[in-house]
Amino acid sequence: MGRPRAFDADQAVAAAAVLFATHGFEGTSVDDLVSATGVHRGSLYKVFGSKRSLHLTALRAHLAQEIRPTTEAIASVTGPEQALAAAIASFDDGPAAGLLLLAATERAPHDPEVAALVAEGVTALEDALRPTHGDAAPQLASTVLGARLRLRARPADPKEY
Amino acid sequence: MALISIDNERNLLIVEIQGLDKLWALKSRLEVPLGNVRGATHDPGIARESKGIRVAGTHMPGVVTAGRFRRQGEWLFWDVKNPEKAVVVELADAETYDRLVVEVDDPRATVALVERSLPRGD
Repeated sequence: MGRPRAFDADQAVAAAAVLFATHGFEGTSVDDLVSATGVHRGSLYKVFGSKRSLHLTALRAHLAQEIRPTTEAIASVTGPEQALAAAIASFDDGPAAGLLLLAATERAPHDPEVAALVAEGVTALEDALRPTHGDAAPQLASTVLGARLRLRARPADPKEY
Repeated sequence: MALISIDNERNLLIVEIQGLDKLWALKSRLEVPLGNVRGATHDPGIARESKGIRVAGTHMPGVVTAGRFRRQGEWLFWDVKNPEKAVVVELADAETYDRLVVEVDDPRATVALVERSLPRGD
């Protein structure tokens, strides 16, 4: 593959995830990605192939590094109220908070691969709420997503709920 | 301006250079097996970067960039007059070019067409 990679791909993906989570897929240009990652345009294309592919990689990393550990933590909470509160406080959070939510609204309707990853994240949330809420888990997962959306719409005071 | 289409029967991505650009680029058509296409991206900003060395074709900065260019060890094919409509098609190592940078009529539609035609699992 030509010259060796002179950059840390994981770091570049993390920086890209923050951009996508903040500005959306369409709102993030390749120029933005080049400046935020500090990686040359040619190398970005060489390693990731396309902006879409980089976005998918960022979404997969967010699922593995953020959504999975969070949902495992939620599943281990014993009280129903506490589990719900923990989910509202921490689902789809982290450095690229909202990446899943934004992908769900912006990209999933046009992109089956994004839709599949979003479904994976939502299913993980449902599964995490099942030990405490049983059959109500899917409905409460929707409540969590709605609450996260409302939190995002009030960036001035994101912790107030 | 170029027309990018997919030949599903032969599994090819086809780039047809339109009109006088054929002259500027010294090329009228490129064919790439879909398996060697890694992705497509709408990228107006790429035109502001250095084009490298023109090996064949035409480079009138701000007017037309067309033909074969070499930059930082990579081969690029350019056909762009209006950078706002530039689409980057990234190719696999097996191909002559590392990257195609071509102006298309509808970048959003072209990117969607190419991306959904690619074999899964990139």
